[in-house]
Amino acid sequence: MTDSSGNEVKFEGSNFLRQRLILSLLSGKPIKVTRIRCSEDTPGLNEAEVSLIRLIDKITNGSIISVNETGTELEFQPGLLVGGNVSHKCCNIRGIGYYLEVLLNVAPFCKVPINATLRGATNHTMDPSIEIMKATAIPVLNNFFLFDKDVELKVVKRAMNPNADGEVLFKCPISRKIKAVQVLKQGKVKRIRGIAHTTKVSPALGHRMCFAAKAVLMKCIPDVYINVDHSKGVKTGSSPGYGIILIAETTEGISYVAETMSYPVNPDLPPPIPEELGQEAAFKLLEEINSGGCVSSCSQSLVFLLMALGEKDVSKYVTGPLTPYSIQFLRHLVDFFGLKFHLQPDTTETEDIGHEFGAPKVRLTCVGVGIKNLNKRVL
Amino acid sequence: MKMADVTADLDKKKSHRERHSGRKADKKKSKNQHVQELTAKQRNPKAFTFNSVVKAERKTQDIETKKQHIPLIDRTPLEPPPVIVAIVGPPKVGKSTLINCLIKNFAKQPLTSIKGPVTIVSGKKRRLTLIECNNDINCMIDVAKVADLVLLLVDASFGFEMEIFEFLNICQVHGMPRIMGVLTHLDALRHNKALKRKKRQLKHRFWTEVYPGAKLFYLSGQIHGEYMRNEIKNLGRFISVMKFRPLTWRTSHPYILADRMEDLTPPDLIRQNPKVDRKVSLYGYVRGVPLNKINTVHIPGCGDFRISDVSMLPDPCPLPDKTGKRRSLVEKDRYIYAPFSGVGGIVYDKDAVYVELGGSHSHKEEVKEQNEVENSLVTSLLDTQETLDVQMARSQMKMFSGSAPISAEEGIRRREDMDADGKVLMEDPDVEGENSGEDRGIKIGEKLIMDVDGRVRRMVLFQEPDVEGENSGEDEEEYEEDESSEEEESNVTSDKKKALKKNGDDRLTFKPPWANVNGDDEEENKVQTNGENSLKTSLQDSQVNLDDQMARSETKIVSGSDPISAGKFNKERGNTIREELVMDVDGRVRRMVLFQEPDVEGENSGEDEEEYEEDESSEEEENNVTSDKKKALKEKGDARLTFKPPWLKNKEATDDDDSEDEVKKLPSKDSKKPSRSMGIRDAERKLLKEMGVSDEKIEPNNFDDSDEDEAMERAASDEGDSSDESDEGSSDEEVSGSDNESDRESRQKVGWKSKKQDRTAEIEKSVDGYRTVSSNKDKDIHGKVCDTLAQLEEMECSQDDSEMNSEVSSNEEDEAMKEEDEDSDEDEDMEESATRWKEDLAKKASNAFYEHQNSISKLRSLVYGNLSARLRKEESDGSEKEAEEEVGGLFHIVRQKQHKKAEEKFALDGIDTVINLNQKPQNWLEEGKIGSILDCFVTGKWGESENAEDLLKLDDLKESDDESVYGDFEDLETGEKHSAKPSKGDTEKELEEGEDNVKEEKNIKNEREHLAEKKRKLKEKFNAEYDEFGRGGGDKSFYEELKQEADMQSKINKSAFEDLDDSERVLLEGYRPGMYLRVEMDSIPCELVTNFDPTYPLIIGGLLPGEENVGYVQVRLKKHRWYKKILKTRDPLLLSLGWRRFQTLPLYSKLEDNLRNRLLKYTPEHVHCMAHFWGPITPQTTGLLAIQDADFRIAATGSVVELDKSTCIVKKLKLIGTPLKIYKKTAFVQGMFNSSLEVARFEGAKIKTVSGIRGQIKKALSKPEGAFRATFEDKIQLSDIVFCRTWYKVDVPQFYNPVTSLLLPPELKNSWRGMKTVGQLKRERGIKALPQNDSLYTPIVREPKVFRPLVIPKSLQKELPYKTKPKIRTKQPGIQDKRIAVVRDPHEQKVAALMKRIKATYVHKQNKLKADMRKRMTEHQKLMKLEEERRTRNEKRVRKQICRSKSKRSDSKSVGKRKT
Repeated sequence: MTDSSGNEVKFEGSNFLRQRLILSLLSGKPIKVTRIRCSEDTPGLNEAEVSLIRLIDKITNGSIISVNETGTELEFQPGLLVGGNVSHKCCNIRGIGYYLEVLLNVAPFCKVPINATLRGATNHTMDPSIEIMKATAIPVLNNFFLFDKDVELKVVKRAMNPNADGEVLFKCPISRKIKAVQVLKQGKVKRIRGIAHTTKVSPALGHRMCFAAKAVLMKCIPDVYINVDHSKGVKTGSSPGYGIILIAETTEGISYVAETMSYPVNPDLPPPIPEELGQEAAFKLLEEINSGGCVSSCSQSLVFLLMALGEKDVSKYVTGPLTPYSIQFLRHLVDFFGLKFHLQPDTTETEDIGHEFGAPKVRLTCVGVGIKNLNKRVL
Repeated sequence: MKMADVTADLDKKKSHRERHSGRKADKKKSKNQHVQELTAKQRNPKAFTFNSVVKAERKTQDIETKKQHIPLIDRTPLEPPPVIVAIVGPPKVGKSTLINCLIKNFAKQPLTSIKGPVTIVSGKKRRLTLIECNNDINCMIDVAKVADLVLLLVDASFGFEMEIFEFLNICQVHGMPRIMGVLTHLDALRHNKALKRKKRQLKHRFWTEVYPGAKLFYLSGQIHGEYMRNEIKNLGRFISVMKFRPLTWRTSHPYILADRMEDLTPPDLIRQNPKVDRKVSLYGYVRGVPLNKINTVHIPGCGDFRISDVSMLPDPCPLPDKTGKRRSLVEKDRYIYAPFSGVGGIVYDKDAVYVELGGSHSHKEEVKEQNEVENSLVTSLLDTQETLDVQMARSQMKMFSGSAPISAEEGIRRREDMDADGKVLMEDPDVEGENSGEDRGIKIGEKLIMDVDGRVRRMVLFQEPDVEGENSGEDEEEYEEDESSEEEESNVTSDKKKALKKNGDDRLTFKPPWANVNGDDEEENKVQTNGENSLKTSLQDSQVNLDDQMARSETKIVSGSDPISAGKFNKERGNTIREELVMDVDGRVRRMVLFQEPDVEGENSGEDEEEYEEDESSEEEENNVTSDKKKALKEKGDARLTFKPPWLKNKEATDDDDSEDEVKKLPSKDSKKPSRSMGIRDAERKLLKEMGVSDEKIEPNNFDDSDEDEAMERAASDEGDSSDESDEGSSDEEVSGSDNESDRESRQKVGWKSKKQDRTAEIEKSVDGYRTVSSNKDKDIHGKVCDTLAQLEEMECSQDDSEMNSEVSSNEEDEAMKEEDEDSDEDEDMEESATRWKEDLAKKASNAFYEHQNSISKLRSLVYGNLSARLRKEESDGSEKEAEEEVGGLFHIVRQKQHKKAEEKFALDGIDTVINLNQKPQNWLEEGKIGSILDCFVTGKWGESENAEDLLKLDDLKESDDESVYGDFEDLETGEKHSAKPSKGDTEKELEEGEDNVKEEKNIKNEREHLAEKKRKLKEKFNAEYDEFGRGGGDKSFYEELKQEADMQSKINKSAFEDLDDSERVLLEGYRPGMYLRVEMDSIPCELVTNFDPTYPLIIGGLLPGEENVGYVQVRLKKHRWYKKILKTRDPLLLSLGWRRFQTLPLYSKLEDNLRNRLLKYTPEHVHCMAHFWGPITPQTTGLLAIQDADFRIAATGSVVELDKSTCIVKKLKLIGTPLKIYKKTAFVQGMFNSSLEVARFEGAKIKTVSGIRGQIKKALSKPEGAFRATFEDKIQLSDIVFCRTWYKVDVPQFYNPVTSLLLPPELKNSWRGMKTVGQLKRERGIKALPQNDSLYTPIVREPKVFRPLVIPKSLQKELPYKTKPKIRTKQPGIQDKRIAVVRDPHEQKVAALMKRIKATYVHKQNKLKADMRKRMTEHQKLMKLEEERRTRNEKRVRKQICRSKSKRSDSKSVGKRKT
């Protein structure tokens, strides 16, 4: 048996820690990360990362985690994913999306279906909000697995920073293996939906954001409907804030998403103007539509992961321009699985001359590594 | 059967012979005539018809669904690897003969000695790898894991042997390959009837084991030591058309059956430390799924390893070209490839060429003695003597290979015993035991039968009724056995002289296995005759001899190709190549050909003593060459043609092309570059390494020969110029070809790449130039120069590379991050005003971002380009300066630096988020912007095929067509005629446009036609789809859908990377099955190489990610029915799981209904149980096999259920306590726990008394430590024992010991010993378990129970009635108490006696009287009875008369009355 040292994958720096942890968990290869913020004022792992590692510890069995004194070195030897009922208090430096992305990636490979309750900031400027993940990641999961509508992602309590005490419920069934998929058609945007959410502020702000966004979007398509969601009472946290989430659906069932939100209350800064937020969100959505592809840009890495882990068959996927995060993910896939994707500019859509489809698309082709869920019990 | 029995048989009387014909026989026949048995269904068919239509329908559906299998995705590649055909069977059953015959059948060329796998082309589309499996259980398991088809050989004259059933069971566990039975030795059965019966009997047994209807082949007998030709031909035909179903394990794991092995360790290291870890390259076809280089591999019998390098080699045994129309194979396409057996001719490696010499052992000696030059020849001869002895011992071992645990010495000893005493002694205790202990009421039995030649065979006895009947019948069945026993007898009775003689013969005729070339003997003799000579001269001699031999012997490399004279070959290459004798792992000597300049070689020879001999020889060769130079040169032309394996033809053809051509071609093939260049660089490095065996750096300046030097320099400069020119040309081309300036950077990169590629191409060419002997001298020199230049260039190249890469990557990183700066070397930016610069910031950034993702190479370098740069990090530091210089200008440098820092910081400690935080959206409200994405919405334009508007238009067209040109409908479909008829179907639109423009009209018409065609296609498609799946309600069945999906997927799999080059494809999907690979591995234990035995399969099994780890494995397991013992928990057990074989300590458990795993001490007899052990993580449902040394070696089978990092097995533990004090329902219990803390842990736990009263633990007491208060459902007794039932977790020991059977020396290969069981240890050391005192049997003494008197309370007594009241009687002294013994005087005695007599007579009289009276009474009663009867009779009669008269009277009266 090979000892873990020969198998270990080494990294430097704190960036992309989540990717590394996810891939380590799924490939069974231990990782060692050094030079984590070694030259910064606050060296070592930050609170959110520690919280994330604790969460991973909760859903695995037999993981060995060791961090050096300064926190600048992390060694992680993955155990087997167990899942089950998990309740976790997330650090507020990052939103719940930060943690949820990890769970989404590993949840189908657990021994027991995961049933997680995460507490923290549901909407965060640095991380996608829950609604966005629901709109983008879950259809992707459903696409690669056979389960249908069993994935549950619910915002029990919406909350924003500074004292975010929101709550999110996440349930995901488990699967034995992943099928290879070929998704090459993105379709055309048929409708745009949205949520303008406000907590602890005047509900009118929601309407203002909504109108501003509509003003832009109506130029493209008439079917725009934005719901104004003013949460109060037990369904909301204790900090004020507002934001808008826009989701564009295509005829092929693919969603493009965009969001903007107010930053945490700061006595030095005036609160952002809702109209500007609305317009910016609309612009972002158009940008996203411009990028196009069969998956929204924030879920590209999930798609790549599932393509990579599939059976030893060919998967194809068309995406928009690759984001830095997903590019790094592709590189990490080489490190962990030795898997390279075949990248081609996608030409099928642009064959129709004179049609404007926005940015050039990328077609990714790969042969899965043939991983099966080693944790599931068969009886 | 024991020999003693045989001798006893001799004395037996002649047995009864049954009549087969004649009167008696007829009589017997008629007595028990055979009546055909009818089944119930045949007898009464009406009872079995169906009654219900519904049921009938259901039944048909059931049958239909039973036929369905889950559709598997077909992953077989277009050119599949050879099919592995394993020939399996007990010893002496004819395996080698069959292989030989099959090879002869397919390849038309017999092999003298077969070791290891043999690959042959069997047909236009199929190749076979034949492999023989010996009876080592390890070998059987490994073979079963890789074989696609198993030929199971059965000695029909003997019946099934245990090995066959063991192998079948192994197969079943590891995914059933196709199995075909082959019956041999059928000619031993002389009677036709017996033969028939035997065949039938064996066939049915085989069917029950494999599947009903499994193919069983009959090989009727041998002629001249070969099977019948047509039978073999048929068998071959069967093999080559057989289809295979994909097996789960193999379609998810890559594997290679190695058919060649080379030790690449520098000999120097081995010399320093013979036990040093080796670097080994293994060769073989990839099978299963594509092999990924990064994955760990497992070599069964050796361990886990990481692949250090993989390279593709040309197929050594290629399929014939598909171009020919012929259905049969052409003679020259019948390749055979078996490097272990010494077939394959010249083998091309990536860094060397191996010429097969067929293994002459004289070379072996030489190689040995190269290390110890001072040794005299005598010692060497002694050495050979010794090895021969060893070989002898081994050969004797092989005679006994059937009996597993016999060591070599033992074997010899036994033989000696036999010789001395003239009788066979059975020494094997367990063999005897088996004889006595067979058939213990179990369905099968094993019978060890000793053969004529001392072979022990393991016969399987089935106690099936029919077989039994046959056995119990007459001796006809045992005819063969009798015969054999007779033979045995004769053997035994024959004098020992004969036996001795036979042994002697054995010794004499023994030949080492590698001595298969006729030249060997000569060689040896020569060496021996030169005994007095010093070693050097002798070696020289032999060298010369060898060369001569080489020259004389014309080796036929591949059947069909022209024979090549070795001498020619050597002479040709004289000055360019150097040969090195390499001793192979299996003792075979191979001459490795190394490409090298003569001068470098000279240096080597000058410096290095070890290679003295070789150098000398090569020098000799050189001299030879120089003398015959002209001749050799002349010969070269045609020599090249002959010395060319077919797979190299293409390569050479390309090599013949001009270099300029190459240069022109290459830039277009951008994508191939990195991998190819890498490969070549590797090759170069290897080559250099090989050249520098003496551990010295070869510097190009160190050339001795001045002439040569000059020539070289000249050539070098030429070379450099030309390459530079070509570089420039190519880059110029690139520049002129493009127009977009923003791309310059990337172009530059391409330029660089092309430059690099040119160089690599040059290198490649030079290498190729070496390989194929170039036709003229100039070219030769040119090649040499190139080679030496290669290093320099390569260094340069790599530097350039790294520069380029770092640059490119850094730039790309910029864009990827969308930092606001544009490309640094763009001058335009500088000129532009600051405001504009700021304005377009976001747009430009995003544009740059998009632009860099719109071509393959850009995309790839964007994503993976960084990767190669990262690998060469150390080099990049040096190149930084240059990059800065290139930029020029202070501003730029600073920015670059800052930028680099920022980038590095981002890469290290950027914010880890999927959202692009830096990206600011464009203002889409600006004019014209939104237009660029309008078509992304449903409201935008649609594609031709899906645009609703177009479709509508089409419909309109159709209608108008229908109206106007209804009759010419066919025209529309054919399309050709349509153009001839002008403007028949004009629409209103066209009319409006006007008839003036004919061209436009035509255009429109064309378009219309086009549309119509499209529509027709659409409709066809729809119809096809509808018709295909429309039957039965309109929707596809679930199964059909699945099937279709699987088909689609397999099609996509095949077509996805079809158009890519192999070198590129390999990077994307791994080395796909069917490729011939060279797999290099470091740190292989030296024993694998030194103890290598090609007859043991060497498998490289690929592991998927995660499978290289260890953990707790939970399996469902069942003891095999034929394994006679049960398995004990925690006893070491050998398991075979996945690729691995290992020893571990399993714990057995029973999975209870609440999913609790309760520990079992032993496996249950006939049901499954769970087993937990510490072992390799293997996917669920993988088969598992447990092996133990016994008569039936397979102990258990099972499959993996779950994997985890912890286990939960529990065993029951009862805590016992005693009541301390008892209240009504509360009691204080003590002795169960030791402290109140423990009690606290168990508060609320259920407890119970032995008498069955249930209760609960309440709270700890303070006083006696560990006591507690408990409540019960009833009052308990003080004598009760209270117990608490708990579960105790048992740990699974972390013991995982891989079986390293391949590392053992050949003669001990099947005697791998791991951890011993406790039982084994005790037996070995004579330790007996000391029983506990209380479990010993002692005589039980029971004292009689004394009950205490019954005491009734006074109050109760009072209540009782008088009757039951105990009477208080003061006992009066009665007469009895005072009775005195009376002594009578004689008179009184007389009186008493008289009285007694009188009394007796009186009594007698009375009795007699009574009896008489009784007699009288009965007689009287009888009389009275008679009297009574008479009386009643009379009375009856009288009464009758009276009544009669009365009635008469009354009648007359009535008559009278009537009358009156």
